[in-house]
Amino acid sequence: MRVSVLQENLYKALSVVSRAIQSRPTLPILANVLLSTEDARLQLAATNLELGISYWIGAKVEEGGSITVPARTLYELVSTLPPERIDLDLDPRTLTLHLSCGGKTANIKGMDANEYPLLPQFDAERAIGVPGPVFKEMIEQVVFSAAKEDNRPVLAGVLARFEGDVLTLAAADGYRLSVRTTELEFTVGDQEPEPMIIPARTLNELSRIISDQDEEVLISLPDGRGQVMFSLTSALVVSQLIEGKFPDYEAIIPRQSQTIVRVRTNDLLAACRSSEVFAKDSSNTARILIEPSGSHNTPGQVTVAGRSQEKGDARAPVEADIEGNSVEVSFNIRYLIDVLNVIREDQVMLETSGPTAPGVVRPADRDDFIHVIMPMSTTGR
Amino acid sequence: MTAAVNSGWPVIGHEWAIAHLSRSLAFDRVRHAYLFTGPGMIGKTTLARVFAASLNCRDAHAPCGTCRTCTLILKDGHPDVSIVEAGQAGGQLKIEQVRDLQQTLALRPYEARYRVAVLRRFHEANPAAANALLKTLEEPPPGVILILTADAADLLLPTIVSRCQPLPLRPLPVEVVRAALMTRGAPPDTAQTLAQISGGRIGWAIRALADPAELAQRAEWLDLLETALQGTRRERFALVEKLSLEKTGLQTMLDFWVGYWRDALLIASGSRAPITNYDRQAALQALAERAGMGAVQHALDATRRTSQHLNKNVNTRLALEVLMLDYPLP
Repeated sequence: MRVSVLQENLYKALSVVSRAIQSRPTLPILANVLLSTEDARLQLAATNLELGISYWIGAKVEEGGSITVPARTLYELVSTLPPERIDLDLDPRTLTLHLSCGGKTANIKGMDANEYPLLPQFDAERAIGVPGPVFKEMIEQVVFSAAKEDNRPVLAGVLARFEGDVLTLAAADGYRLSVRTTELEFTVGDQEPEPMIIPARTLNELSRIISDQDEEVLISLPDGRGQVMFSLTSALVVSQLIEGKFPDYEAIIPRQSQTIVRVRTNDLLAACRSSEVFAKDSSNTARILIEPSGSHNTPGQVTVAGRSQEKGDARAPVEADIEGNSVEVSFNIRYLIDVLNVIREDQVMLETSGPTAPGVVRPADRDDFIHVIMPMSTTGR
Repeated sequence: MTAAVNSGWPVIGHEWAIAHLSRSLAFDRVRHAYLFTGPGMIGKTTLARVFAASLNCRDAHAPCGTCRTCTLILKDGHPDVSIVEAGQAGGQLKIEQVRDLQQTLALRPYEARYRVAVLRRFHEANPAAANALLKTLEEPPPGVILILTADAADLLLPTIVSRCQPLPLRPLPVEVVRAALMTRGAPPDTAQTLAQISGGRIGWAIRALADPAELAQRAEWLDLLETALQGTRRERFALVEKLSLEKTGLQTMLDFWVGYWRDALLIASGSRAPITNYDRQAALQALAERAGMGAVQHALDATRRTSQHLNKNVNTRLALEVLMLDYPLP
């Protein structure tokens, strides 16, 4: 293998694919990055067997070939090189990759590319296209609700389901639930894939990789491999799917609520942040007081209150339009902040049916995103 | 001579286990969990590895041993075969390792048909780790096969054993070990010596063939035992104190001691069965005559017990001191 690439391209590619490398890989070769030539491009790939990332950069290929080298070593080395042309030259006998750039030279000992886990081929024919920016936003709106660590592996994933021309993403950790839908420009039809559970970690990385140049994300499911692939302009992300059945979340979304609050998103977020200062000492519990207006010319009021036994308390009232009864509920304020952070709309709806019923947060005048938070128990306080 | 020729499985010995496993493969009746038991270094993990290759190799004569799947599995480099074990022999397998494994097993196989998890020396798993595995053992995700190895089934929780199909493996016949060593290029007399001393533990024999230090180490351990048996309690305690500073190898040392006492018992009881440590025949003869059958049996039991206790995280020095008190005085 003999190729030439630009330092900045190689550096960018390495910074992307390195995200798929674990700090303690299960197999020694997984600490390596695969370099492989392809027409006038160089493919870099890394995988931890759950998440795999490939990235292509333009290259002048004099002689084709492939090799794997320790990713950290290559990454650290390339970051110290000047922004010039890097020549890569592989000695196939010793599996040593020789680098030269701006007068500097280096040799990196590699491992045989044949021992690297197989990378699946992307099947563009049967791929489903989703607009890049929309998909990125969808991921950001649900992925935080997935369980960070859980004995039930399905909850560490995000459910993705195609039905007709609608794509749904949903995630839940037992205390909260996010569901986001989007209408596609076409019907998936008879190629409609089975609902799948994608590890949240994968989607986090994917949303990080999706850039402004990626107008469309192509999603494809190779037959029987239990994988999903996302193809971007110059990257391919492959993820293993999580086995199992996602819980039936429709049942826990309240059909209707007794009290419905319409409030400015930023005001509510600011109020939540003030009470979080104290609430974080009492397992993030914050009380939300919802008081409808007494007369026509005064607005209703939502008060977010946080309290700490040692440090004190804070109350932050916010003006709001309120339908229904006055009520007081307690939520985990961290969860409320998490969801308000991903709502871009000016106004947000907060709905509740009392201190023991699940609360609903959704952007005003939109019905493609819904977030459900279980209330915190306040008995004995 | 070797089973490798007979069955096509690159495993030495264990013919009936191989026959059983390949039958279950042929009839598509593979269990979800197996438990391979038997003394250390008789080839339990090798058998597990080869079984994993047979499960996943697509050749008609699986395992072919040459395809990508086989080569990667046999050198522990396959993405779908996880090997989990305590950091070192005599260490502890921890609950975090089981949890990590469960995360991996929740994913569908990466490139093979089955995901195989080999949990080595599972008697070293602490109770929390063993209990954490129960749910997975009872109902693993589809396409997952678990293989546990352990010195003996009764060292494990009964709840673990009842969820696996047990395959008790035995030390190999001396003849098989000798033949295997000769195919590896050992001169006949070396092969004979190693095979006999190994007591059928093929793994140790192969290692000793490659590295003479293993043989020296064994001699050192047996000398130590013989010195201790000649000494007073005070001298024995001094020996043990030095010994307990070594973290690794104690388990192997006790295996050799068990073999030594077993030989003494054979001699004391007048049995005609061949002894393992035939190079120590004179010392063994003297010991058997001096101590008598009851004391030898007591010492053998005590050594076994100590070996189990060391797995359970007891104070090494105290355990060895107690063992020394159990040994007959000169």
